[in-house]
Amino acid sequence: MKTKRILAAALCALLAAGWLAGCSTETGGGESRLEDTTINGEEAKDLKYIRPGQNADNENDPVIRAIRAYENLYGVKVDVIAADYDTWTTKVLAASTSGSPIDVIYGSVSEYPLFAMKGYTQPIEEYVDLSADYLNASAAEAFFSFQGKVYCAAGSTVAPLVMYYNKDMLEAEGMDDPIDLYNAGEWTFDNFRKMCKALTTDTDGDGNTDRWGLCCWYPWAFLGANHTALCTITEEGKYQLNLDDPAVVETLEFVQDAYYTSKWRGLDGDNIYTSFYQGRNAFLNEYSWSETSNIIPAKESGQFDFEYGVAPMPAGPNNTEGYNVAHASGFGIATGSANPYHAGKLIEMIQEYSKADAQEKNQKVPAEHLELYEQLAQKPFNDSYYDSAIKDGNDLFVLITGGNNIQTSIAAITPVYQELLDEANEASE
Amino acid sequence: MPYITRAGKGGVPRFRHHKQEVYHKIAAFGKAALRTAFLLGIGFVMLYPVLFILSGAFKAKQDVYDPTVIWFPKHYSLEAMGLALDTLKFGKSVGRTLAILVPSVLLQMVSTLMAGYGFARFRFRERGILFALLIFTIIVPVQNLIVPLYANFQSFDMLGAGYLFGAVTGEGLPNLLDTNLPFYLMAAFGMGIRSGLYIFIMRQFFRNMPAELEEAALIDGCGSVKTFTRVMLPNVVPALVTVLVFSIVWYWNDYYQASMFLMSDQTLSVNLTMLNGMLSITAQNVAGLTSQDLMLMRDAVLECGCLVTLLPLLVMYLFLQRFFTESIERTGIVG
Repeated sequence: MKTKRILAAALCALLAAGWLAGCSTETGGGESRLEDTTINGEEAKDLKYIRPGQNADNENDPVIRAIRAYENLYGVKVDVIAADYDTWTTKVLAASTSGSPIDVIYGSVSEYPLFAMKGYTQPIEEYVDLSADYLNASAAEAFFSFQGKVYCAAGSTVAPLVMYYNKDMLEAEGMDDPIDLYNAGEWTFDNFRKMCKALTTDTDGDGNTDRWGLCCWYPWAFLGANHTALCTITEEGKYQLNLDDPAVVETLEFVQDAYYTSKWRGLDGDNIYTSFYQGRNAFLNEYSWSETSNIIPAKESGQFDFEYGVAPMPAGPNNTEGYNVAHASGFGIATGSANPYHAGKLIEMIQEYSKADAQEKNQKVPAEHLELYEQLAQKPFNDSYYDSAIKDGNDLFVLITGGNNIQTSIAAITPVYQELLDEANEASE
Repeated sequence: MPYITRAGKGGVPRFRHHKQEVYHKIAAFGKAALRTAFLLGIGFVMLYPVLFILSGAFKAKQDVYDPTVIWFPKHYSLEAMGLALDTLKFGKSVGRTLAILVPSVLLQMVSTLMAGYGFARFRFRERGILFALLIFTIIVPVQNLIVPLYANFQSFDMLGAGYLFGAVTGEGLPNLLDTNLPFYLMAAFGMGIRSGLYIFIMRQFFRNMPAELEEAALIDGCGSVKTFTRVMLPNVVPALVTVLVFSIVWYWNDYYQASMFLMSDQTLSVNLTMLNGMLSITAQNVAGLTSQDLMLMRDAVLECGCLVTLLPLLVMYLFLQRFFTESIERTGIVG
């Protein structure tokens, strides 16, 4: 009898422990509903959210966890609208036109200020606390503001575009460390070009170049590194072509030299990472997120064993104020949203969860790299902010990297880009 | 009577006749060789993407950076295929695709059949204008129409039916987005994918049929409906099969309308476009798969995704190729 009682008590204790353990599971869904779900007198309603490529089934995604937490807190549903990168902006426009806009809309430097000009999103300062530590106010002002108002809440993780380099290769060739050159104020287009040219060579003597100075995917990023862009935005908020700017022509010449004239940009195969890991390139130009998602995993799995370093992008002659090319993304609130305050709250929660997730992922990144990224993110610039209406000038760069005469290419592309800008300007009226 | 010399028939000396034969044979061989080379070249250009996909889809990780592996892998693996099917949510995607495809194709066949017959056989005042509008629907891309279509289906009201529905249910105008109804409605009213073209095909086919058939049916006491169903319809089967085949292909491949009208569970073609982005997330849930493995397998997974999307159509084409070519020949659509 006594044994039975002991066994029964033990079983109860076990069940209670299991129940308590289940209750304390952190999945983002453990939040209990708020007693007062109103914000500034606004009742909580169902919201719609869109971000291209978002997978609503992935419960490990910090965005989905934030959404589930919001749903539990406010007792409403958030519709995650599936969309791909090609048609998502059409979906945003269609929803807006139909009178039932999508409340929370993703945005990056490629979408702004077009979204603001076209009226897809509204000023966000009233609904989101931009001074929160999980948001980046300077990126929001640099990339997501239009006519003095901020339209998109940028996350705290602004990703600068940097140069990863093969330290062992540069040392073996007797070259200076780029970070030393940067600290000495000599990390310029000219020095970078000289280095890359010197490192571009035929290493095995078969008559074919098999090592290049640089591998990269974004030739237009050098516009940002030279603090210029193919377009500008006037004080009245209108796009204007900037193709006659000497800094633009200078950058195009630089890019043409890299891709065509001297060919110090190249890669083995069609993937810049594998080309870099195989020692075919001295410099790899990528955003800082690639360190956690690609480079560190590659090193850990033995895809390469050389020591690598990080330096900012070299500064062009026109970049006298130390701007750094960076990418930022965030979320805006649709114009005409029926629930803007709650949409703002959802945005805050998403960014808070995203920051925590990023901090966890950054644990393997060397401290000096993180410091550099943070430093570079203080003065961000991105030519896409101005050139998004002309698709970052991709058509022009195809002509330039193909070896076409620069002035002829500019003359040919001007009417095409002017038409695109006229459309964008018309949409803003 | 032909003049025959001692040399050969037809008055031609045997030697010259033999020479001409040789020239003819060389010329014929040359033409055949050129024709074969041309066809092989064109065939290679057309088949290259499929061959490339087949080559890469079953390649194991260790072959990815092996410079000696070009077309035929040394090591085969189905890992990429498994990952592709998982990421595409293959069963669900195919189910969604078929749920849209089957009813839409059937409705489209009915609507295009009737519209084609009307244009071919009935004379009415507005026929010219309506036909011009039909051509307009063929020329104007769907991208021009998608925003008003989206808005229309988002708050759907047709001849007051939407308001009636809203009044009865108390929920306002019905939202048809994220359902299959937009596809069904458009197909039923001749606005499905490529419906304009199919109406054109049907019209051409009906015009080529002899009017005596209808006259005979009229004499026998058939009205328009009976003439259509009893006399014309049985003779239009080849055109119907043509429309069926093309319609299946277009609905299977449809990406734009599906991505716009569907909000959650997507069709196979839309999931294929998102495969690359979704892959990283799916891979996190696969035990033992590192991000480096993923980088090595990424191309193979994308190729597998393309292969599973393409395969049903390829199989269908192998069996129904005759109907494709015959239909083009019959309806006179060329160029």
